[in-house]
Amino acid sequence: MQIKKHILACIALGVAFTGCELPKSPDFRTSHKVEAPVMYNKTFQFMGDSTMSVMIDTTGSDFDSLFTIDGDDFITISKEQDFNFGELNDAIPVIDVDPTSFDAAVGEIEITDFSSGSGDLGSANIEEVTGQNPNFVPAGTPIPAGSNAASPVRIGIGANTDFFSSATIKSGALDVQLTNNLGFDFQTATIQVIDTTNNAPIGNAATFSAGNGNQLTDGTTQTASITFSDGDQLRNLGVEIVVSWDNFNFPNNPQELVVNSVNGNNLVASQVQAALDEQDFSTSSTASFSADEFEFTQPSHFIRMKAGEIDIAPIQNDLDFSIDVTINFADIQNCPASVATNIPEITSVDPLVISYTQANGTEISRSGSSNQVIVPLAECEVYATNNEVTFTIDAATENTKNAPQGDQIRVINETQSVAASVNISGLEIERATGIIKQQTVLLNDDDPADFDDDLALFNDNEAEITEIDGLNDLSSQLSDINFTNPILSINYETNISVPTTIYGAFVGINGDGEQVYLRGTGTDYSVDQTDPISGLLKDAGDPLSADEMIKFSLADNLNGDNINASIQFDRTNTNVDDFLNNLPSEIRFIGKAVVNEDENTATIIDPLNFDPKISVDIPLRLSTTQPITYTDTVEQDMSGVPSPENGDDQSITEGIIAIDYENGFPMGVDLVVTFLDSLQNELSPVSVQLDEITLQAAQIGADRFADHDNPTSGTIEIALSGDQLDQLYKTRFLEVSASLQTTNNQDVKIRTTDFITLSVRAELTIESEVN
Amino acid sequence: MNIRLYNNIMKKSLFLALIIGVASTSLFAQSRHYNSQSLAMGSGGTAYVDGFHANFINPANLMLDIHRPKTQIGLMNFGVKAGGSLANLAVYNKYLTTGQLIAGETRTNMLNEWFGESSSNERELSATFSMAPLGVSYRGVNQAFSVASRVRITEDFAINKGMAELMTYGLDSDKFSSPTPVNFSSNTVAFAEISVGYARELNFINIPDLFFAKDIKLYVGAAPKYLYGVYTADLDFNSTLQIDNGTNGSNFTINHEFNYSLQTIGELSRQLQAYETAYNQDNNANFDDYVEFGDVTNDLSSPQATGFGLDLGATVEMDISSVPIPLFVRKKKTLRVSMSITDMGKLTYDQDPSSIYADGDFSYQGAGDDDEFSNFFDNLSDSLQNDVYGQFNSEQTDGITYNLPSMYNFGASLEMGKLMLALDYGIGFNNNGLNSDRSVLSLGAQYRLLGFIPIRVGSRVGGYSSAAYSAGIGLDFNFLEFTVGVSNVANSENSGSSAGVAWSGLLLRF
Repeated sequence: MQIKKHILACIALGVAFTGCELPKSPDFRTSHKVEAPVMYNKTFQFMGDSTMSVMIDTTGSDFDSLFTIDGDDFITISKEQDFNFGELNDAIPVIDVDPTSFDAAVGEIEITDFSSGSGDLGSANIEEVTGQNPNFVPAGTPIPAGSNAASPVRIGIGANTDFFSSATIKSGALDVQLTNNLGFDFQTATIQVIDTTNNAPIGNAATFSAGNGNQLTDGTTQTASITFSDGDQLRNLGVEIVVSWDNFNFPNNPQELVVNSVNGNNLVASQVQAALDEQDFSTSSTASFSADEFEFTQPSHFIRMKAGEIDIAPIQNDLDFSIDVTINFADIQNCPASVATNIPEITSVDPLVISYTQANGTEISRSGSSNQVIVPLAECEVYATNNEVTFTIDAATENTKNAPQGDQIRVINETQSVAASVNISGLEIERATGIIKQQTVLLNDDDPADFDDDLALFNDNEAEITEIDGLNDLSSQLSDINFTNPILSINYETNISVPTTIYGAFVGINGDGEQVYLRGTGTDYSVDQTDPISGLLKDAGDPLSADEMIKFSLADNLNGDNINASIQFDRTNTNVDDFLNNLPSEIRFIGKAVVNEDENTATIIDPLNFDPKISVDIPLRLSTTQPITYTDTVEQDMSGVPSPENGDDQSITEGIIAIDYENGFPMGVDLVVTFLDSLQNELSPVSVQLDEITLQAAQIGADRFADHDNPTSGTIEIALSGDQLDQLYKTRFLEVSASLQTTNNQDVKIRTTDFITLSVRAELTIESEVN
Repeated sequence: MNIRLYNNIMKKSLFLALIIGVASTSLFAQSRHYNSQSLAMGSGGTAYVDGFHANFINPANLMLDIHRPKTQIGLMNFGVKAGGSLANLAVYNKYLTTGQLIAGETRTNMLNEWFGESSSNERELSATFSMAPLGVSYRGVNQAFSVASRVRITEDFAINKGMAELMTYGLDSDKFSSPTPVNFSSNTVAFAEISVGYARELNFINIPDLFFAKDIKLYVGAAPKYLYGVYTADLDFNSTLQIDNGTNGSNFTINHEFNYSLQTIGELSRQLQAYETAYNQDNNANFDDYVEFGDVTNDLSSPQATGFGLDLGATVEMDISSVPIPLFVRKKKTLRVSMSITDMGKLTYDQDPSSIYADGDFSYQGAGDDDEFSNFFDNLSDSLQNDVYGQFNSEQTDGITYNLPSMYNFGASLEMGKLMLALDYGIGFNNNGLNSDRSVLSLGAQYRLLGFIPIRVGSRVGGYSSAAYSAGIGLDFNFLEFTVGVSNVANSENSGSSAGVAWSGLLLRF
């Protein structure tokens, strides 16, 4: 019985458990209808700022400076980009100067004074002249005519010519002045200079006679010139005089025959040992400027230096004299006064004069040398007519006659000289007026790999590659667009005064890789086969043809001022419409500038400022012979969309999108949206494509604008099947393809206020599985 | 017919008779304290729960000597009960476990069976977590004492059919083409209590033996308790929803008229008021920047409410061994008849109490240029949170008063050897938590297999859910008890489901 009770208790417990209601595992599906207006009556203006709903937000970073709007709200795509043309400074001529030197020899030495005193250098009495002793011959004693030829009278004068020691005569004469105070007239008197040491005559004899107009009558003083021959050694001076006379009465109290003076008369020596006056000698030299890139053909042609220097080496003085030397660069002018600072040798900056003188304490000492002098040439003007700069060197010896006694007599030889080298170097031109030789300057950097002065358009190391911001995105997405009047401009600031023509190649490459070369269609910008340009290539070894290039000249600017100018390529002078309708995402450029092609006189200024920008202006006036297709693939990860195929508990069983629109845009739109997987392939096995989305264009007014008062309207309803909706989770990209077309291919103008008003409502039925 | 089947039929007949009888009186209720024993025996216990648990059911039972040891110490007793008309397992199993697509007519039928025809009909779900961390009782010859602590967390949640329709249909313009009520409410209360119980036998009243009852004893007891409030929040949200699908040229429009109020205290109250202040200064203020639900840590450092409560009870115990009950003829039979009034008292939450409220008409057409489909709903959510529901007014209140789930309990138990049968009746004085002003009737039985393995079964009819069955088992020695109990409903189709579980914790007797 006890056991039965236990059994009953257990049964009761079991019944209690089995009788309970227990929840089973959930297993059901729900169906939710989800409706939402994605937008309602929403007006999208074509363009505007962020304060309104716009298709293009002009305040966005991509578009903030892309558009310009006129008074009719008509839109022009305007974009200016910096365009990095290369340095044009290569066009500034480079001038080299050959080193030069000067060697100023003393040359012939003229002897003038022989004595520091005046008056009697020597004398002879009547007895020495006539042999008649006055002590024995009474006055009035008739003396028959005769001469002393048998015993010429000799008068030594060397003791009194203290300025002279010796000389090797090259030419000239010695003027000897005699005074006859012997009391009778000399018929003739022949005088001969002799070396009193060896009694050898020196030079030719000279005669005082009536015939020569210098008869030494009693009481007169006359001068006769003794000429010398080259090589005569003049030393130990003395004279012998042969006197002839007519009958005369022996004079009462006869005086003397006196040698008053001897002076050089154009007496030139090759070497002299004497006390000399200042001896001047000079020379000139020429520095030649290279004419490869610049020529000075007129006296007015000059260059103003930005840098450079004249280096005058120490001047060597071979003479036993201190000397003053002056170098005058007459062709170097208008140097700034500051050049002379700390260079005492510069005594003039206009023209440039370098002086080594006692006056400024820089004289060149006896057998010594000067300091080296380096003169900076910045801001100096060089007038190098015929590409030569001539400079003169003037030297002057000291006057030894003013020297202390004992130091007056010096030896000087005509071959002795002062010499130095002059080197003009490092010339850089700030401004040059003259004949600038034609030059071709690369506007791109030459590839270091080939340095061949050739430029290749598709060599990234050489070509200038520019993207026009804002067009980039469009270029890969729009095709078949036909803008009516696009303009590409090159706006530049420059100070180039030299006629410059740029030859170059622009190739625009759109997002699909299609290339269009910009070329001239008229005479101004077309390149001819004969034009002086070469070395512009597509790739190495593949030269560009003439019709793949364009040329343009920079504006005249004779004064070299900074000016702003523009070169405008439009459809009348180039194929810019084809070029820009290609919507280039990338513009490549190579070019060379031909400077002073005609080699006329011109002025060039360093630095050459050339700052170009490339500007695109595309008025949004267009027509569509074919629909403009806009294609874009955008990332759209729809992995979160539920699908039973993805193992989700939820699925979308119905999907409807309803669109109501009003189109105030002058173009109709056919829109196709294709859903793509991660490999950008269409979804499979069931593709999903929304392809019946068509918005009719607005009516077009006479002004070619859309008629905003009569927009077109319509309703579009898009339904997706359950099979399609089950595929959506695979979507990673959406390919949006829009065909834009004007009604009847009309030419239309787009303005900012064009609009589309949309109401979009979505309706989804979502099934969820819970188990 | 064998005896086992007979007994079974008899017991079922009795059970059915009791159900019918009680149901005919329209008296159902239940929110009384439970432990593993009482939960397993139909959530009664008025006449048999002894020891410190008696403080919370019937303090007079401190005098019961069902277990011979006089002292009882309990640690970490706890239980969880949840249920209500919203927890309709019958409908759930019928529609939501069979793989059906809940759409069209199926959806209509499911909601009708769950909520009835009207969109205004509400269904409730309640849950109570109860834990007695420590309790001690001592029973003397004529009097007994006890001290016990208890923590209760109660959550009431209700939604109406319109809310369920919104959840199952979504924003379906066809369904909500006309204004539909969408309502819900939530009430949360958490508090602790320390109860001191005293009971004694009224031995100065001489009760004569009756014709079958001898040795009749009358016990009375009282257990005053100190209440320590932790948290409360009371949300009541009422609205209507109408959706215009925009097919007539108008915009798709969601119209939502609403009014709601939230009474709360402490940190949440302060956060909401701070948000209101910020919103009034800048209507871009973000609700989430100011309000962090669940951030009530600061509220635990000090009482948010205090109060006092009282439990009273009386039990008559008698020996009816002379009654010839089959199978237990020679067994001692003890009949106890008890009644009690429990959870008298209230709490007033007075730490920064406030009431926020809003009353508005929200018409939503989307931002108009939502980039993606989902943005509509994101914007809708943001608008509702910040601009609609977040745009509320608040006012300081005197406090939030919470009346304890008072109820009247009547019970009887018959102990016959190792078998004990019990019957309980109760009715709540309010509808707080699992309390219900619907009467509840509990039947329970315990058989002590081998003397120390109590096998417990029970049933409960009425109250906050459909009829529930319960059972329990464990070890119950004189010096130690370790038992568990569970309960569930048999059919929740009419009044919802309920479920409960309780653990005795570690109960020592000596």
